[in-house]
Amino acid sequence: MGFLRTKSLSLPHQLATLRANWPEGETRLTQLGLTWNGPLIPSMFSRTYVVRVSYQSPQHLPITQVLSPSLDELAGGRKIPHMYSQKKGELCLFTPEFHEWTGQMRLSHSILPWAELWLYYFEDWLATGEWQGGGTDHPTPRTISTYSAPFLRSLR
Amino acid sequence: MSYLNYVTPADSPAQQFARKQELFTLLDRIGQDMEIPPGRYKEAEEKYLAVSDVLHGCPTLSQYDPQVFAQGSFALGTTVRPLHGDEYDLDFICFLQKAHHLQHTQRQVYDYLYKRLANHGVYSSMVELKNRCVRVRYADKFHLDITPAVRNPYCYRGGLYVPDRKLVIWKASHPKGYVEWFTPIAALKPRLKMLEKAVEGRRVALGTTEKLPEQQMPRGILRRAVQFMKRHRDTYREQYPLHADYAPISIVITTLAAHAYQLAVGLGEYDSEFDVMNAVIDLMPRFIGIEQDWANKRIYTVLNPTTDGENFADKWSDPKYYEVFTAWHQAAKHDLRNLEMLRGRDEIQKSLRNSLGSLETDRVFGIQTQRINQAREQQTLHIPAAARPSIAAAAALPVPRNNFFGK
Repeated sequence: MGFLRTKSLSLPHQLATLRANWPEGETRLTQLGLTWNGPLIPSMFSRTYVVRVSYQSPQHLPITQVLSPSLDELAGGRKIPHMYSQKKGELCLFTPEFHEWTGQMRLSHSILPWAELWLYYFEDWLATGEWQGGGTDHPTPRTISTYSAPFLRSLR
Repeated sequence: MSYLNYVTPADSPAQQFARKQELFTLLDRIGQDMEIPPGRYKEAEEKYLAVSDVLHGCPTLSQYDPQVFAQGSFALGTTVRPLHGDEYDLDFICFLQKAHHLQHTQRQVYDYLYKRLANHGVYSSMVELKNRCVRVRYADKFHLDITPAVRNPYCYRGGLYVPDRKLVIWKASHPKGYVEWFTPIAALKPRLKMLEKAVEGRRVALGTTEKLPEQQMPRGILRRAVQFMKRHRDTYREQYPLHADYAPISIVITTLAAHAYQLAVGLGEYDSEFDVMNAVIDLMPRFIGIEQDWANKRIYTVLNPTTDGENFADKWSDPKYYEVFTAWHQAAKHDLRNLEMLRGRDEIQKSLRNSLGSLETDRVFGIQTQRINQAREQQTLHIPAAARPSIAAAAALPVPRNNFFGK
């Protein structure tokens, strides 16, 4: 994918690629931004998960939620790995620090495949109790010594 | 809250078909994993040839021209790893070709075999005497159960007599004939509807099981069904300890399954191999003979189709055996059929663990996940394009690199 493409993709552009590649879902563009609602079936034996991706603008990060079934209920009270919010069903699909997602990327070619992959590992985790999909930990707060001297000076 | 109204569309026939195909592939894989591994198979073959040589070298036995050959699951291709431990049970016949059943007592035939092995330097520590056979144990690998046999002069089909040490009688048997009966039935091919092209609709992305390559000794549906039921019986015995002693023996399962398969193949067309497997289990009880004797007592028979006078269900005079068979059969039928109804890869995995044990199930599911992880690492993971004819532009989507964030 293009490093040459420096401009973020516009919401209509995102809408077009979503409709072309994920026609099983419903793509909408409103004043509040872009949403894709649709079913994802990560593997032949999987449940059908209804997922919503919302993307307010290229300045925002896309938010991915599983609307049904309730992941919380499926997990039976266990803490599910790699979620922002277990109640709302929000998935952590990428690590912002690594710039794995940028506004130049197509949602259809990144967020949705990742969501499907996440759901695959989720079902695997339900059965085995182990998350096989890898990932990074949520960062702990940085200690002051890790900041650069000019930055600290600027705070004064 | 528009999403609450979102109705999950019912599975299309094509999807149901794809799921059933995938289920059979899964059971095929698990069956392969339950079999004796090829390396150990070779080892077992070498060992049995070595034992055979030792028996030939015996001054007493060699007069009777002993011939050692495989019988049971080893010869049929339906071996199943024991639930606990790793020691496969492999059965052999030592046929004393020149001995006559009236010249020797049942005891004597055993003693020839046992003494030869017990006095031999290599085998003396490995030999055990069982009711119907002499067991040579190779710890943690397998044991060879060698049953002596003499010709059965009353069987025109070349059957054998096998001594029963406890009852002190000769029992009719025909191990070679049985294999010759079973093998062509297992080779029958059921008629399957050609639905493969019809698979379309919603995309299904990840984790399909790779089909077994054909040249790898195609086991076929019957053998996989037998393996499924044998292992299911083993787990059933653990779950119902009170039934454990009455659970059907492997030869009863195998015989009924082969009859049922033969019938099922002739009955018509099936959607998938999975349906054939279900049909086999459904039809099995029909082949249990039920008669009444002079005292109105029920007699159950599962006859050896290749020789007269061998009833595999000879213990079933106690009605408890038939009851347990029926209970187990219901459970096996339900557990197989139910796989079709389950949604969620985890649910399938849990159900299979429950009915077939977790070792092989987890291994097969784990390999699937590992393959996805490998493809991710090499950045070759793709999600197939939505199969909708109106959209020509849609191609398979490569999955870019990502790290799931958070703990």
